[in-house]
Amino acid sequence: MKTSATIERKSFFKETVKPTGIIIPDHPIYVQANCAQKGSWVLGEKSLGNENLTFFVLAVLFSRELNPYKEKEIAIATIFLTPIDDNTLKPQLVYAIKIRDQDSGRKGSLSNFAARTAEMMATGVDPREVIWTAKFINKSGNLPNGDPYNCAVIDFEYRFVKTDEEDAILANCVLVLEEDFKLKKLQQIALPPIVQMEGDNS
Amino acid sequence: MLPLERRTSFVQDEVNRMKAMIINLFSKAAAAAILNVKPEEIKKVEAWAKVVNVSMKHSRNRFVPIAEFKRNFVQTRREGAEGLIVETCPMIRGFMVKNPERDSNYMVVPNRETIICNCPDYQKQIESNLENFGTTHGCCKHIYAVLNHLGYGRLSDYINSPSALSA
Repeated sequence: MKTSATIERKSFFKETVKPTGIIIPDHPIYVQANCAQKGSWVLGEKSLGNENLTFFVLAVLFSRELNPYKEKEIAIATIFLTPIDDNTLKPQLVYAIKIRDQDSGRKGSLSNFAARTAEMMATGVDPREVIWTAKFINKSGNLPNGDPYNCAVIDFEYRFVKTDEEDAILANCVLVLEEDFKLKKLQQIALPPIVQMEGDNS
Repeated sequence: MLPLERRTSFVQDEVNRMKAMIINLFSKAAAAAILNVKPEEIKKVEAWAKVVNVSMKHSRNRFVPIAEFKRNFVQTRREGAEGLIVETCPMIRGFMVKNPERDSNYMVVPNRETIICNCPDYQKQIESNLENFGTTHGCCKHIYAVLNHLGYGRLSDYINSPSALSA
């Protein structure tokens, strides 16, 4: 019996080239950072779990958008990134995730991201030249009105490139940044609004 | 005389206007700064048509012109902007503004229509202005720091400047 490993590829598809560089899609691939409960990455309708996400940042679009459930505008950062491994997402492909702060505006995923960015800039490092790790941190407690909450917030860490493979991906990122018209075009396309889920306090 | 519907709408607009101004301008902290007293001394701040009635705990009420509160609003933020460090951040096509005293960092991004920040003061101003006036302009101390960095005196100067896009 033949298995998928032994089945020969159809000649029609053999000419399909495996890309070596970073692929910038015409439309952003939106990965929702769902901060309800323990947090999860959601692509389309599929939950991809809540493992740490490791990536290079290509661009960040800082904007404001209307939170339809609270009828107020909130600050949003859309991070355009390319993963460095295939644990959760595919490497060499550009994805977009949106992050925001808690309603108070003092703490949350966006503040965490801003703090790490500032740390790097203070030491003369461009935030696009390091490997970022985004991880869900579980938060629980009681709201001022006594209602319990259980949600996640995204924390960010960063490190410098260690291996030749990582360096090769960074080199491809640099190529994208040098000719960034397609990346800029990608940022002009509207993404679905950030949706606050039950228990989501990020 | 205006029809009842229009009169009601006018009154509602006025109420909203005062509400917005109260949130942004007429705080106890602002009254304390203007009158040079401790915030605990202020019992109540009430905005009237042209003046603000400030009730004090241990002395008679004081009447302060609305213009004085507006001046204070701008001045506090301008002064707050003085010690801030502005660094260009190509990643966000904007600036990171650091407050060394509080170790806080905020993103400030100029765009076509305005300049946006992710600090709580800006958030509060925007919420109030959007709800009551339908506008989305606000100006916190971080934005003043960026305006200084870019060579603009006021937010309106930036908005009306033809070179704002290239900022």
